[in-house]
Amino acid sequence: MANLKNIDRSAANSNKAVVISGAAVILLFFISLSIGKFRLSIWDILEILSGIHGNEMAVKVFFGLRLPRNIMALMAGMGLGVAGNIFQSIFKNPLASPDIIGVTSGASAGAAFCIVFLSGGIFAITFGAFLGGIIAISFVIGLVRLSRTRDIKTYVLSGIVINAISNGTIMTLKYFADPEKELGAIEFWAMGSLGGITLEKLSKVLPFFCAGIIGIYLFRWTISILSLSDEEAGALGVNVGQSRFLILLLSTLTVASIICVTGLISFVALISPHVARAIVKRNSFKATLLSGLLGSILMIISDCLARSLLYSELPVSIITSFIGAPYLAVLVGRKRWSMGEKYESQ
Amino acid sequence: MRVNKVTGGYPGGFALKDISFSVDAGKVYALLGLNGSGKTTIIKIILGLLEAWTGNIYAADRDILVMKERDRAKIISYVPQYSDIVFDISVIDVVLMGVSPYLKIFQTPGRKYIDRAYYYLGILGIENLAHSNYQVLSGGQKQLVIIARALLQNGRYILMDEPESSLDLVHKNMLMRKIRGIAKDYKKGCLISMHNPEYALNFCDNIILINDGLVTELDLTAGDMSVIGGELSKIYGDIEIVEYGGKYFIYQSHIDMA
Amino acid sequence: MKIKFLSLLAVVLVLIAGAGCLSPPAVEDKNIGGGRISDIGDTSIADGSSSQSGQQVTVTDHLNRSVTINKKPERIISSYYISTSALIALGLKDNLVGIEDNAQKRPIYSFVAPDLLDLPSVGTVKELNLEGCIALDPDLVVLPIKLKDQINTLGDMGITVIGVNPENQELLNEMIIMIARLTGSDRDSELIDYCNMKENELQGIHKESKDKPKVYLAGNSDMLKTATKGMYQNELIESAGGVNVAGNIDDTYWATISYEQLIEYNPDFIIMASNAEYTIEDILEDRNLAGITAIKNGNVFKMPGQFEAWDSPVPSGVLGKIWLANILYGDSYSYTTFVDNVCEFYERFYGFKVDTKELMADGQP
Repeated sequence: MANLKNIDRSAANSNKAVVISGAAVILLFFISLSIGKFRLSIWDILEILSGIHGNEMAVKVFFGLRLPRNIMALMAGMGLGVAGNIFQSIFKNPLASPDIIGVTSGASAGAAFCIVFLSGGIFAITFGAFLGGIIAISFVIGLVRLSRTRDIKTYVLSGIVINAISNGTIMTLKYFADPEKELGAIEFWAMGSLGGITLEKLSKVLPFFCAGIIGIYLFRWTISILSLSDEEAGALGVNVGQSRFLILLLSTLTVASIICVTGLISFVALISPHVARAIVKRNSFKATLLSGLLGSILMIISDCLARSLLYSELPVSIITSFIGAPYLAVLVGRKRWSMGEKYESQ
Repeated sequence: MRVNKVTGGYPGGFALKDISFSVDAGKVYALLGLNGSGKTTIIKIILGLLEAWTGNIYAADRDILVMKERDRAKIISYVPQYSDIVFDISVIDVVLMGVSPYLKIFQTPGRKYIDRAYYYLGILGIENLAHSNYQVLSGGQKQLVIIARALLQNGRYILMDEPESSLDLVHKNMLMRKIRGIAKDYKKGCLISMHNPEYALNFCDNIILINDGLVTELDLTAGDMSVIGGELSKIYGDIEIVEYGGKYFIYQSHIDMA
Repeated sequence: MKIKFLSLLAVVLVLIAGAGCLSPPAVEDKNIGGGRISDIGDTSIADGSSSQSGQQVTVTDHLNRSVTINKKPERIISSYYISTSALIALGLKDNLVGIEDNAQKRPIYSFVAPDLLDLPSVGTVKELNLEGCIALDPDLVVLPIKLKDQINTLGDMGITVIGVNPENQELLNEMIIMIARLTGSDRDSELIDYCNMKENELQGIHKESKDKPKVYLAGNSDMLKTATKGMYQNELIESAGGVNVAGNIDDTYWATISYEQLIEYNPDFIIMASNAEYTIEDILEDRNLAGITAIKNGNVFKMPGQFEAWDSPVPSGVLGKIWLANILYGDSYSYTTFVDNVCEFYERFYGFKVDTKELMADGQP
């Protein structure tokens, strides 16, 4: 074929980027297994894994806390990175990540609601987070329809409104909740932390997370079609309303399954897709995959810092915010991303 | 394709009443009419993006109005004014989107479709752009990419919404020639909404004229130019058609603003 | 692109390596091997005089969990200032291996043993570093019940952990007894008896009083936050012979009221919480409050906080009651008595001498 002369550089580059990031995630995952307050060297871990470690407590800490926590960091980064890219693609706006448009805070309000009123069951909290996220998403879709623009302003505005409503809900809950019990849980949880992840929690949210991610993977082609205008996607044989709803449902499920145990994690879902697209230069499924991998890298590093900078736990969002907020400022400032006019005209 | 007594449009808004016309494979049709006459509405109704309240549209012996969008997309392809893609994307990926109606749920295009996508890019002479970023292409190149997508979609009919509107003169002519070539070579029925009747006269086989909700079908291959000029004058004001060097030019003798 | 990406990767690795190095050395030095556990075993055998050695003790904590300990705990963690203070009062300060965050804000630790401040901090009332806790290889962990999740997790890992909820005098006493039983300390009854004795002494002062003074207790962050019926602070006011003006608010947490409400209460005394973020002058000069009896008479006082927050249910809380009794009934209960009590209490239970002169000076208006 004649076009073989035309070497597909971007595809080759994106393959390379995915392989390198994948390797980095695996490497970081194993390094991070040895980081934590309980001293476990790489050698200890190898002994534990081969079942010959003599210290029972070390084995318990490794399997009960360290490993689940690291898996959760990996999962959280992956899920937020993937969901971030999908939200941005489907809403056709580079800033429309779940944290900016308010899905994350909607989910957190939903979860807080369940913490207080259904006191605690992890299934109830996941469900509450999921429901909160769905309500937030419906609101965003409604607002975008109402204003008839996909301008950044619409998304930021919807984010402000949903954040305000969520904060109001959380404050109301705090006010009426038994202050001796749930208050602390809600407060720390609002800042995000992987400090409380245990094998039990992980195993409970894992099915939801996997359902979301596998669903997203299966629908990857439809997702790429949905990055077109509704008319074009419809003319290409896609039932736009139905498939968009289904895919947003899957993405929200993924986000909800993460934040119902970790609390709010900011910026990962925003910056991972950007960096991924900057590397791959094409918004293909590879970019989504790379976004997930970069999210994992970001989360693993942030969580390692969160658990080792001070003796006590730092909320992980403090670290992701310090990395993410300046990046967001740069993005907003850059002309290419503040292209409101072009979309307003439609 | 036969559009038969179709009434439809925006719920509670603009609507067309009782529209009928035919589009045959292998011919190029110009859809002419002033702004607001309903050109886009017709295209959207045929695509199933707007609802037809009464009437039917037969294509390939079936009423496409009652079809699922997947099945309809196998018969009718669409080339919008410009494709609204926000993120960087490879040209080949844009073209490949055309196979969507043929994919099963959860399936992605295989080698067979990828080869065919390259083939159509080759037909349109833009094979070298296959791995370029769609976002940085010129308007004319973008249109060709979308036409390649429509070809891959393999509908017997291709609907185009003012495809040349954002192009310069050179590219307008180039694009219209390519569209005509495709219609003839691949036996596609092309329905193109446009503003400039000159292009209709020079590149199309038929004109479908909409004026005040009334449709007039004009056959350019058989028709008398003076009759056609008379029909066009009904909507464009007093115009004269001049033939020079095998081409038609339109000269506006008097502008009636009323 | 490649270079950009590799440099990104390099940054990533440097960060990770950095994170590894940042772990506090105190933890790095610790050896969790089997050797240490047998060391502890030896110690408790050598310490065989203790009646608890080798004996099982079971208590029910404030989460209704049944907790059993098999040997006298040598390494204790507390992530709540009230339980930490109780551990000190029970003579267990040398057994503490980890305490709550922001311990430097609690002056009592510097008086008792400044090296307590060098102990690793394991968390706050809201968050606990689970691994950090386990890494300290504790025999007993005392946590507030807000950390219910973490308590259950630690329990599942085989760590002996109790949840405590010292929100009033009764729960505080329960906690003290609970800890004493688990640790084999015999000082609990002495401490509780002392407090009960003082409590009765105070009862004697105001038992006959028909017209008890109205007290308004202003909260730490805002003078319009006040202690409600279900709080320890309500007990504190009543023990000292006052009437809590906000005692009709049936709640268990600080309530926010309005200026109008405060004027309506018209308290005889305004007492500021020991960690109040505003000054006595702020209240005296607040024009909105000008007509209130307490302000007209200059009866605005701040609970002393140079040792502990006596307005919270700490073991030394009885000193706060005594201080307030002196404010309310200065004629029959002198400031000197209060100072004597402070000296006696801390010398007896916390083992340090109080600078009497300084404390006396504080009492001079």
